[in-house]
Amino acid sequence: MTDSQSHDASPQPGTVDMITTSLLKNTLYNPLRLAGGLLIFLLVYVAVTNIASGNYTLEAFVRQSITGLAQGGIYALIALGYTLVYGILLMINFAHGEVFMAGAYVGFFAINAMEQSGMLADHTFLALLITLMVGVVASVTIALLLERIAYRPLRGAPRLVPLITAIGASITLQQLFLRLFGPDPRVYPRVNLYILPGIFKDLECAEVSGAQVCKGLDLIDGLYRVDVLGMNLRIRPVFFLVAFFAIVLMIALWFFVQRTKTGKAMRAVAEDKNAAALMGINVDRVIATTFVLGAALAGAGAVLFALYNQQVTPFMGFVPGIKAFTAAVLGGIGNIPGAMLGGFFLGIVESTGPALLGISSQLKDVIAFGLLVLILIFRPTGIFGEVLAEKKA
Amino acid sequence: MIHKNTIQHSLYAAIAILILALTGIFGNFATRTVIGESITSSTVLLVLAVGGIGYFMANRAEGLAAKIANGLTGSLIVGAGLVLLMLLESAVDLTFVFVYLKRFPLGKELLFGQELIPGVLLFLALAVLMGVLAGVLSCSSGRIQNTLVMSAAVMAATGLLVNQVNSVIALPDALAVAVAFTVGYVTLFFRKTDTIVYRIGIGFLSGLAVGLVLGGFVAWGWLLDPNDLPRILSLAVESGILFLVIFGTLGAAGALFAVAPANSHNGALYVPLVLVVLGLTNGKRSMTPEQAFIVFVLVAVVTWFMPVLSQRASHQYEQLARPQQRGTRQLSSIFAVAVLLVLPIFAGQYITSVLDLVLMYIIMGIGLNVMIGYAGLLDLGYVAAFAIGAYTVGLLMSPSLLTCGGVHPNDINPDQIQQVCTGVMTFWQAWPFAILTSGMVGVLLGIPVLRLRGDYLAIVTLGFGEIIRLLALSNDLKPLLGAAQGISPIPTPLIDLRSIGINFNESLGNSISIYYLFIAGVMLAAFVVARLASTRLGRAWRSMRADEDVAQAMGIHLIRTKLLAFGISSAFAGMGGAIFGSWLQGIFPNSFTLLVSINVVSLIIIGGLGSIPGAVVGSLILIGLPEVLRELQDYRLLAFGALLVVAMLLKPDGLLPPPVRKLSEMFSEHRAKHQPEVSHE
Repeated sequence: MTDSQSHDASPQPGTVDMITTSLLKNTLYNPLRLAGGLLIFLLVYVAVTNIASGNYTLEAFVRQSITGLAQGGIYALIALGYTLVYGILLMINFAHGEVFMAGAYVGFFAINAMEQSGMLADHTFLALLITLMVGVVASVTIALLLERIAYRPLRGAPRLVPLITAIGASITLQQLFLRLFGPDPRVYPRVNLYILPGIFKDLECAEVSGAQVCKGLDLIDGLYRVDVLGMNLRIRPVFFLVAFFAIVLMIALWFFVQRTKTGKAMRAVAEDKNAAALMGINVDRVIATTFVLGAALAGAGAVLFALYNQQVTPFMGFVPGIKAFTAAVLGGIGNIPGAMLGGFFLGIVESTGPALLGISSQLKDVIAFGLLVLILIFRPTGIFGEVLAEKKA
Repeated sequence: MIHKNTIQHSLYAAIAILILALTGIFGNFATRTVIGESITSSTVLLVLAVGGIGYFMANRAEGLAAKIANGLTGSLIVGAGLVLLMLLESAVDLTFVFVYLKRFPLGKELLFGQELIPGVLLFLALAVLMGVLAGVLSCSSGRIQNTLVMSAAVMAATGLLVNQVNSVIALPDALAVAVAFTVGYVTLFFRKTDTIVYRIGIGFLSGLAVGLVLGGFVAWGWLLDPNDLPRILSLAVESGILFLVIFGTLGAAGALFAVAPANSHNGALYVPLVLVVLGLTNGKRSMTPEQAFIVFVLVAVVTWFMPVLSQRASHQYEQLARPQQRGTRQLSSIFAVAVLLVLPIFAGQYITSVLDLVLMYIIMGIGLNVMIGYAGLLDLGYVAAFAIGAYTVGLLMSPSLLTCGGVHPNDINPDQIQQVCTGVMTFWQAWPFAILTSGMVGVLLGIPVLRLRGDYLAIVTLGFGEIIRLLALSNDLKPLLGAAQGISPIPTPLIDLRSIGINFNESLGNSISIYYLFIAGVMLAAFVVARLASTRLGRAWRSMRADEDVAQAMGIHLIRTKLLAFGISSAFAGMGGAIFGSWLQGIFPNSFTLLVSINVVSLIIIGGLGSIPGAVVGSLILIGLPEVLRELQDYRLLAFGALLVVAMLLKPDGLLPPPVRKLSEMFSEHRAKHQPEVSHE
């Protein structure tokens, strides 16, 4: 905030930036890029030798990519929240991962209650919809409280201060959920949601009183062997559901931000809070709306994640939260399609990378963060970032 | 009559307390007694919640009746909330959702063993009582409030800590120390200001007199059983000279602090008080009501007279000549250091190990201050440098791939390990390497992020921290770093002066001896950083923090300055990590989590960015306090997180921010210095 203001206030912001850039180009830019390039070359070399020696097959790649797609969809949904908040407030909402976790937790209690009452078995789709809504409402509530208590009073403070409150809020929420709901993981019930019996005629068949009845594709819990192009794949439809969901929500969000009046107000606040306030925009409300939008996406993502991952713990939000921020940076922070693509990219790289490079999968987080560093060396504005982002960085 | 916000804010508070209650906090805290058997930390929490809210609400009103009305409203709302929750608990089974209520049902604690209805009525009556008391307290004068709150707080804290801090000092010792100090203090009470030598001399003599009398009594066995003397008093028999010197010094301390700035005067006065309180509870597992009463009265008396005494002391101090004032300050710090040095002898293993941890975080806090406080580079991956320091020491001090010439120690015949692993170093050889390696890795990690500012930098450094931990954990590097098993055992540092002719051979194997190593580290770090801050480099850091572009325009070499900040700051983390590794005699990757980085960043921000005393205070609060309250450890991190938020909301600049010299002040100082010369010309 202060940075962007000082930039706006300086008479010729372009000149200083140009000097900086040219200086950096002459001194450090090139060696650094050289080193980064060498590293990439090395990685590519390792990957190629691995493939050439037959240790890594296309089949494994496709299989891992599909897993990565789902993980990436979750990252994308969280990253959208980061991008929105960062775009407007220029702060990392460190507690966003906990907003995600809260959605999954409260969603668990909803779906569990519905399982007990039998509603989950009878009206699966409706029950899932309710779970999703409950998760979204929980995340939104937490995010609004966060904004009101921890961030709003500090809006004029130095940038480090809200970051610390965000970290504090993150720890507080984790610990509060741990103390409230216990350390043992809560396990989502298995959900069988059968769709399209007309198309998937030969799936989930059973003998019911002598006749062969096929229920169709099990969207949530199903696991199917599929042979495509000679590759033997095991596909979970839920992975595609997550990815599809992420894309749809992203498009909806994009339209919201670009086409609605509130979206326009959000963009105005992101550009300049004071000018926006002068134009009659209620800045507080717009910022709260931003938090609501981000949290709603995170809540929906959390319920989807919990549906296929099943386990819910108080600490489940932290690492995805950080990864999602990485994804947001990858795509160019403040950029909505960028955040989503960054999420998918990160998800796929993370799940295919370890095997491709022949290292243990313990190091997948290393790949994620290494990717972040490389992106920041070569394109600090992210893959789709605008010039604006560099100023804010 | 009731303030417009009272009901609303009480409701907020009630909701917060209800959420806490749902975690089973009241039942959990009830396992920890404070006074006697019946008053537990749960009681304290309840009084704080119900009475405290009432007090806050009462404080915003004027006049006794209005204060009582507001206090009553606040307390009743919170009390009613808890009552509603108890009724709900008795009607519905909440234990599936709120698992801790199974072990710690709310009603069991808060109904005082009564049935539901009478218990609830009793509870509400108590809430009303507390509300009224809060109103009355809020109406009394500031001095009374101060005294009551302070005494109650010290009483509760003593009761809480007595379980862990129970063998610090025996009561006779504590009383003797307090008497010597007080006599030294009182000798100067009615005198006009004197020179510092005179003051110290008189104090020393009076302390000596006390020592002679006491020592005589003890030596003849009039006072105590001569076979069972406590630590200090037994010196009267064993080593009379040392005994007299100790008492003389105590008297001198009393005389010194009798004329001193208010802060150090108050601090010094609380030391004997705390000692006596500790002596009272010495050797006990819990505090009896009688002891609690004595503690309360003692603290109340001292607190009551404190404003008068400190005003007198600081008034006299201000009348001293400048050199005398400086002498007083210097001597005060010498006394403070002396207290620090003798502290572990009395504190025992447990408290000292807590202090060790605090000191380690002080070292890291001072180091990170270079990066965040001076250079303005937010580093959330400080644990990386810490881990590298620890691992370097671990690798160099034990048989490893590095020290055994590339052969894994497991592949070597155990009998030959001495011959093959010729590279094994002592701690003193490995320490500089650890510091250097950390500093160099810090520079290397700094290179790719040179262009990043603010939050980008934070997230990338956070990534580095995680990368280092994951690399240490991974099986790919197991031969070198040992994966999850880490490196152990690591030998302890050994001080061996026999080679230079002094018969001294001590292994720093326990918390008490390593304490001195940590103290040395802290002093080194504080000295280096404080000096650096006022060099050209320190000024370059600060100008870079203010505005990078302008700093560069002023001719500051940004890259060099930034990399130096990264390097120096990481080197201190490496120094801390190296001591940490040899202290625990083993290194495990799970010690190097993100929480370490967060701890360090938080403690310097809570203490005040760019301030060395701030790092000390921050470390004591964020590391020491939770560590000492370990028995409440279920809520340690929750309190930590909440503290971060609250501290930032109330004091965004930290508790002890560095003094900011206004440009106008510097200008007037400059003019005062140069004006006469100009006017002469």
